Amino acid sequence: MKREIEQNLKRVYDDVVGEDVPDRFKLLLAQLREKDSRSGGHK
Amino acid sequence: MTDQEIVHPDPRDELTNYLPSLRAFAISLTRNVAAADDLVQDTIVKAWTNIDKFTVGTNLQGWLFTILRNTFYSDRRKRKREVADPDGAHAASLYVRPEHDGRLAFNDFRAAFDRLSPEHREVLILVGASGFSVEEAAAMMNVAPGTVKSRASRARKRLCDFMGMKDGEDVLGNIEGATLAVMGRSGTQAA
Repeated sequence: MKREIEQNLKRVYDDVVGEDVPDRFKLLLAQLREKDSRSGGHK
Repeated sequence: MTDQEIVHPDPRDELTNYLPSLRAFAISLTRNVAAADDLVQDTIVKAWTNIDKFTVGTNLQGWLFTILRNTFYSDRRKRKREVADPDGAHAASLYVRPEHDGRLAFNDFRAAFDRLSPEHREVLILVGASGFSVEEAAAMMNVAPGTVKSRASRARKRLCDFMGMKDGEDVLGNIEGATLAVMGRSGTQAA
């Protein structure tokens, strides 16, 4: 039973890991990077 | 062979690599895609602006997961203070993946998993699915390793109890209602 639970948990998790990451995150990282470079890089 | 020869990449450049697992962890906690993506967004912004607090060479994923779960619990405390969760709001926010693979046992499992408390889902995902050790999970959750083990075993027991209720009153009924509720919503979240 315990092993079955572990397998199912892994599947619940891996199902999402396997999904495409929404574009909003690429956008967000690009914005953060741009903001940093505008304000003179690493704060 | 000196330290200088080891070039550590900027950890901020690695954030992209952890987005899939951050989303998986966030969905495990919130069971709601829109809320999970907002949570991941907050985590990324916090990680980015506090990157100087990250010790290069240590576990970046663990650091990010810690920020995410701390943000989740602190948001949850804030929300609880603001409004009592109205009836049905929790059911309506359940994360239901459209899936047509007909694997009923797994759907039952997921329905049972959805009914666990976030604390129980968290411990099971951290030590069961995302591959962290009990010690690493304990550090993230800021509890003793023994607490992680006992919480995980209680969570597993709850899960079995819920699955034992397979033919019970409304496990699947709730999920279907939740699907409709989710579909009827815009899926956006207030800021």
